[in-house]
Amino acid sequence: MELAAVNETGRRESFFLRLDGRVKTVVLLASVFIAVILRHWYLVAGLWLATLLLFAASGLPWSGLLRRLLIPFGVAWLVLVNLLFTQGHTVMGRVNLHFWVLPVYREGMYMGFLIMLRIMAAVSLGTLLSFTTPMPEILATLRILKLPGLIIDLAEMIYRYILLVEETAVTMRRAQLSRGGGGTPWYRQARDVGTIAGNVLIKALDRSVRIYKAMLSRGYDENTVLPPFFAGKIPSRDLLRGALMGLVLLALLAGDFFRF
Amino acid sequence: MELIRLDKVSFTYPNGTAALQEIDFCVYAGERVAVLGANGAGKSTLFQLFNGLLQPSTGRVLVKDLPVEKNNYKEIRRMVGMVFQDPDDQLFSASVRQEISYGLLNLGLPRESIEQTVQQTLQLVGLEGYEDRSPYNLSGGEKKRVALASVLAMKPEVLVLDEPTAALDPRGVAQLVDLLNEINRRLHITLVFATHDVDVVPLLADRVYVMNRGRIVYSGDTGEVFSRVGLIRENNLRLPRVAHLVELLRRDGKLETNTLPLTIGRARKTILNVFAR
Repeated sequence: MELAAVNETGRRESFFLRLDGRVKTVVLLASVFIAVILRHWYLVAGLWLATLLLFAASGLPWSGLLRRLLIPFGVAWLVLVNLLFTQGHTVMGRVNLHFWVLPVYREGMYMGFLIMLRIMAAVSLGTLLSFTTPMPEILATLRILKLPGLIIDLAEMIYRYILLVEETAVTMRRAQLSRGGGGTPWYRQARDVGTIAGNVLIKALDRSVRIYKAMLSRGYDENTVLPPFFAGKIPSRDLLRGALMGLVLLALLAGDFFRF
Repeated sequence: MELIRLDKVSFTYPNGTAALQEIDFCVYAGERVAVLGANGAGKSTLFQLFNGLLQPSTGRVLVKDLPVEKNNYKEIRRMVGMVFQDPDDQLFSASVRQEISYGLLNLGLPRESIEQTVQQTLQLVGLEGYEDRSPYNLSGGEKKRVALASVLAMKPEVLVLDEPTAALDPRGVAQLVDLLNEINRRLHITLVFATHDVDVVPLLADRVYVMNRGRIVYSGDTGEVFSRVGLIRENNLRLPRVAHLVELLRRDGKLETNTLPLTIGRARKTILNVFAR
């Protein structure tokens, strides 16, 4: 499954991959935040372009990025179309739908385009992070950044078991198909999917009880807080690189604020 | 020295299922004890009483004379290491290193000694270099060994294993048996394991408890238990394959021997002795 492959990809060698996971996590999360607050489309476009260049330089699979961008791109188009015809006061043109004439607003187009770029840039940055940094390092960094421990614990568990849940669902679907489950009317297929969902839920609940017992057997109690686990100090070279990237991001923000 | 003792222990699940009835059970330090029984005999329920995951309905459970109750759980769960049947129930961390460190962090050990213990334990189970691997990406045998390592790292006095050979291929079974015997011999860790894989029992157990429908029907040395062929079969079990073969040959008058060998090695000696006569 993609998650498992991504985790292994995270261990291949390139300059960006070799960067300490904590530095990458902080820089890329900050970049996502900055991407969604920049007000000028050309700065967002520049950030997105830089992300794509980093992606290419790291030798990462484009198919993975495109798959991740597909749904957000669809959402971004919906937003653009909505804003195009509803937001603004400067009419650029009109769209004649026989019974209905829709005005196209310049401000709406600009806003929609900006939001689309923000979405694409943010998702690309998130993808770059997940493709270049093993999930345990990302989660450990979030813990260091003092995000609530319970949320991190839950995220770790979800990451650990989501692959197993997917495998269970796939196995059940194969069993259904082996007994003529495919090619049946849509309502029966919907029922089959519902059956899988219900069974996966029950199995997950059952397994969660057993996992909890395993945790108890190794000393877990309700007061246990799993501490972060990271090997070693951040190399000074990586700290310097992180600082430089941070400066670039600050420059972007300044440029956006003072308008280049 | 008694490590685990159960006195007249019964357990009934909330739905009314009487899983255990009047169990007397005892494990001594350094032993290798097998609990043999068909599916539904109550083996897993019995094991969950050892470290307080379940509390008996009647009777008492002692670990090194400590009653298994809430204020002793921490100490008991350090002494009694439990390896569950399905490693996916036990491997819940994102990496092997985190998995093995989990119990050690709960014990409050310093970080430097944790890293050292992680390395030593991985070496013991033959998984050096696996520290940063995700448990999901491991084979069944590797997961089993990581599950074992995660418990061994806590330096338990007794290792309790529920169906340790389940879902392992023949090579995996052989490797696990060798590893468990080495752990018992070198680290002096007592072994208690539940199984219905009778072929493994003679390789791994000094003493056997036979369970059926929540009761212990017999206990004794491994050879003694398997010599009671009728008892074995009445309780939905079978002899080890090589013993069954010798039994058939003996019944057909082809092999004159008073004992039923339980392992290939012993069967070979028996047959060669007969040929020598």
